[in-house]
Amino acid sequence: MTIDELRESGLLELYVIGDVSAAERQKVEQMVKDHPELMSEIQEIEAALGTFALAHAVLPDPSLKDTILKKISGSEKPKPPSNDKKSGNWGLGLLLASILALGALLWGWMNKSQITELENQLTILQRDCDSIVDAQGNRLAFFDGLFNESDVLALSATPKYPNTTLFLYSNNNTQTNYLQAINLPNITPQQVFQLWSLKGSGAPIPLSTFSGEGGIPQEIDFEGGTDVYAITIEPAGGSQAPNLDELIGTIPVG
Amino acid sequence: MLYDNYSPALNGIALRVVGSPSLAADVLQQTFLKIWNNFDQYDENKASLFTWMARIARNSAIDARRLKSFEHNQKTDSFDTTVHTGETTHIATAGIDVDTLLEGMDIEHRKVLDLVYLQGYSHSQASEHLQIPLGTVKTRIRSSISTLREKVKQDKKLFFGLFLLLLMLVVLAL
Repeated sequence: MTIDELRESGLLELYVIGDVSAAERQKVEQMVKDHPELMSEIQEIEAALGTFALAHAVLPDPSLKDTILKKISGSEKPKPPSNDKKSGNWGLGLLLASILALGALLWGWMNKSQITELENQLTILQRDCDSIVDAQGNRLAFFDGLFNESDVLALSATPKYPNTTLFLYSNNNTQTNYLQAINLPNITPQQVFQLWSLKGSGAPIPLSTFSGEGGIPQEIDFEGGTDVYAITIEPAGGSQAPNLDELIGTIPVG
Repeated sequence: MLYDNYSPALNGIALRVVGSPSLAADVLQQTFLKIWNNFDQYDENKASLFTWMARIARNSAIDARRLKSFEHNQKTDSFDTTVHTGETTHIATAGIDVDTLLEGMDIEHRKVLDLVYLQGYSHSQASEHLQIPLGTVKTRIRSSISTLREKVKQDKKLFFGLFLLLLMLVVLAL
């Protein structure tokens, strides 16, 4: 496929939206690698769709922010957003923009739109960088808390799935469990992993389902008084009773 | 900051896909948890941060809608598995007027972009839903995004022109 054929096919647009098969994604990424000029095409599509999404933006419930931040960083209160300082620097920003614009006037009318374009891109990149640094700082604090305050419980794999490696970070004080899947069996898109709580001789209690992507701890249901947690492979959506033929392992507590 | 910058746009996507504010809130929560958990997988060479996050929001919302549909089917066996119309009232938060942005875009093309980008249809589902060939869906998506690209470029030029005019007036006044 040539660059023009790729442009005309509409595949780049679907790639940015995320509506492509794995093979198509690979094809686009290979084409971009071979023809770096395609990247600016993709960036323009991203900018157009970003504007389209912003035009349809809906403010979420204000209370949701706290709920999400608590879920992400436990009890730690996140740093307040640093956007406020921008309004305080309005005068300085205007002065700098004026100097930049005067420079652009002297430099030549023909290049003005390119400078504006670059300034916009710089603003977007700066905002992305700030967000990434902020998120990484929060993650570090989160991992500190996780490793220092939780019991680390290892999964004991069944002979059917001997290579499964998985850890549960269980914190009785905060009644939270975080699960870190290092190595899991392959499952189909119609299947999920499901956590079960076993207490004494009672029936297994169905808990969270997960797909097992990534090795980063993810929060999962906590059940007080659990003697053993178990993990099985179930149909998508989870089950009310475990399929013991697909038991991948157990995690003794305490 | 990540939340403040992006939650309205991601919530807008989730809401259009699932149709219910409470379910959209769940999806937004899942989206930010996935962003948090998979941040090390983000590759800035492949996509902008917003594109990456929007894909996560869209996929999470599609999963939530499937699950809701699956649960509903089990209970009533009569739930319509096709996607809802997505005619949700929106509150623009970025000072962007939808009608102005979409001015000049063919209504049929806009319908396809709305279905695929905002309502979570795959292009093949959109083809089936609108009863038009798959190739036409792709062409309309490409055409509608081209219109948007031109619009975004024009807006940038207009903004810059107005800014320069203002600046010249200030310089002359001094």
